[in-house]
Amino acid sequence: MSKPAISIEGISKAYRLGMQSKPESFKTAAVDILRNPLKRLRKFNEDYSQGEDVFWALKDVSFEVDRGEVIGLIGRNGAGKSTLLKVLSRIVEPTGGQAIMRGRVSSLLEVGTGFHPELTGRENIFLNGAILGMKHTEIKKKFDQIVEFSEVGKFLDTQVKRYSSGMYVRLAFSVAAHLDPEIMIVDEVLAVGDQAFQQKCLGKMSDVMRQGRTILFVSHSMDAIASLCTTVVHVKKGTVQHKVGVEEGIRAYLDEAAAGDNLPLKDKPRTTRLADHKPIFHDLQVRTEAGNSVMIPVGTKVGFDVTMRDFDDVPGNLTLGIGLNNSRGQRVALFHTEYHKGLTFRGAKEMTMSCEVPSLPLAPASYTIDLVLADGYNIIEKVERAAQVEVVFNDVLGTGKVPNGKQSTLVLPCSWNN
Amino acid sequence: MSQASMSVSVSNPPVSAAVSPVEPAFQETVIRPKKGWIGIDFREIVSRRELLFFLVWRDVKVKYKQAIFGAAWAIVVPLVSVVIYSLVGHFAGFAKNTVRAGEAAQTIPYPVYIYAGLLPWLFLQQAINGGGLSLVNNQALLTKIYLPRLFIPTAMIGSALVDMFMSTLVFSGMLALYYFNTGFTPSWQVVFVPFLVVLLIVAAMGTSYLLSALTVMFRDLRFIIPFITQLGIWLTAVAFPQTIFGEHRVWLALNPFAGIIQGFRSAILGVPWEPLQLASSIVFCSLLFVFGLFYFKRVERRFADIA
Repeated sequence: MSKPAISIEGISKAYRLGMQSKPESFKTAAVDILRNPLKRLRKFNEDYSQGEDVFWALKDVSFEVDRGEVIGLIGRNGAGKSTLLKVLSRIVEPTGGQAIMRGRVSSLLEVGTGFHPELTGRENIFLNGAILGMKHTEIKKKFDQIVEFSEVGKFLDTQVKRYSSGMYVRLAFSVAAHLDPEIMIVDEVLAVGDQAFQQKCLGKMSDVMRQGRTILFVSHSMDAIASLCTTVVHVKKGTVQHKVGVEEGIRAYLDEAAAGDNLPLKDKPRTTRLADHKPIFHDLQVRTEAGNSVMIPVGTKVGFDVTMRDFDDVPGNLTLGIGLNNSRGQRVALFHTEYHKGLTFRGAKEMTMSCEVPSLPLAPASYTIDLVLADGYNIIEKVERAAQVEVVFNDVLGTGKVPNGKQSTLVLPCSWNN
Repeated sequence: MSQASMSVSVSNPPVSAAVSPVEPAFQETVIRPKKGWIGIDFREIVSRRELLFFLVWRDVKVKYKQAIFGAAWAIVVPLVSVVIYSLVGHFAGFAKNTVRAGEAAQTIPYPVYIYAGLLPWLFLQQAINGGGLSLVNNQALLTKIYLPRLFIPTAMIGSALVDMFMSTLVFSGMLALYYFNTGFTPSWQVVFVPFLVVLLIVAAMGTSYLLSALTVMFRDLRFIIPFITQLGIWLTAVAFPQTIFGEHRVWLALNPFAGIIQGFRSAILGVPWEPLQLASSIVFCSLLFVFGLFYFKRVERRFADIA
């Protein structure tokens, strides 16, 4: 068994608040130096573990990445993902712990680092390549591939400052994509460029992956994570749980991302017409073909089980609606007891309503679920973002491709003729 | 080498029996907090030397790309300065002081005298201004990628060297012109110039390393550095002969750069050497280099946190 490509043991990173962003003024520093000349030199050795104005961006992070593994780092903004990538890229130094990288590392935290607007595309390819750690001969060898991939061939001798932002990004990514590292660290850089180029980048990443390279990848796009990664590490407030499968990781992330921090449904915020009433919506289970899951392959069967409690005191003929919203907050589907089945029901002590959708034709993206209990047109209780689900790629069209959530809301079959 | 002083160590792990024989020896990089004074990773510097070249090339290229006169500015600036300081010297009456004594006695044309000191000085000024501000001007290279950070100020020195080379060509042309018109010949001691250039580079590196690291910590230096180098032209006796200080010029030994500038004049023009100043420059600049380098390495680990 070979050694893991990356071994991370107890990595921590502390920032002194107020220190990391604001350099001291010369005046205070000069006064300090005059008062105590040796103190300043010692300051660089200061130990961060004490004091309250310290922020731990990472705390005791440990995991291993095997060779050839493509690992996704997921977590909310500010969870510490980027800090971890910076530590592993040797940009910032950890406060404690150690990490061992086995192999040539290249990190891509920003596309086009070191690009100079005054230089031409051609010149920037060489400059950026050198900054990313390529040898001159290596860049020369791959030059044509880089140009071809970037699609800016015609403008190669134009100054980069005259490029459109799309061209700039394409060229920058192309250079980085032709690095030949054993370990690749990629921050959310794929979220740039137009849709077609993003697809191309993902394709390139898959190529790199197939060559058995180790990739550490940060993304907020669960679609990208699900299609590229083999394992996931969920970063949460500077700590990580152990490595998990993609599905489990995404679920943990979505649970965290959904409204209240990982609250069970009964504790989630809701709007209600009944004053001082106990919460009615108690639990929501999403069933997929693979069992209970938050990942639904495009065009497959899905079921929702809604458990409600303590509403026997609610009068009238009630209806239940399950709404799905896309990431822009638009309602894309509604499954409703009355509309779909002509069903109204009476309040009860406890009741579980099950809804079966034979095939969900939504495009790959994340969707949130709203639950609405109503009496005619009057809402009795409503929970927004009761859960979040991820519709993931599935080859329903038989072509190996489906439009994604940015291109289309629905994935519908059709025939083409010419 | 102790672990504490060298925390990013690169080594090829020995292939032992426990490791499968087909496994290639991966380069191993250990990342952990560094303590104390940090050594310099020469292997890394050698393996990434091309990057240094590209950074120099970038700076040179960008500097002249948009200018209408392009690289001609590297020539115009010293020429115009020589003309101005010569006129000042002429009207203020310093110009008469420059006579080479001894066997090869001859009057040194004043503009040549000025240029001989200006040539190293303009390099120093450009290297220190550029090098000192190099880190704050290249934040993306500090915060978005890892590279040997020493390259960033070093590249500015490389770029200043390119300009000095151009300026040297102009100076050579000027010497040729004076040779044909007045018969003035440079001193044989010009063979010592390479030694002085090394000293000059050492001085520029030490100063740039120290100032660039300090500028990351104290942004006020962005304004102070150009101001000091501006003053330096007077404090280092660049714009006029040292002789105007008379007996007081012994104090110039306190200025680590004065000895180098005067050394250039002595070597090229044959004016008397100033052994005290030169010795002081050698000692000061070597210390500055060592201290600047180690200070840079010591605070380097915090650059990305602060920048």
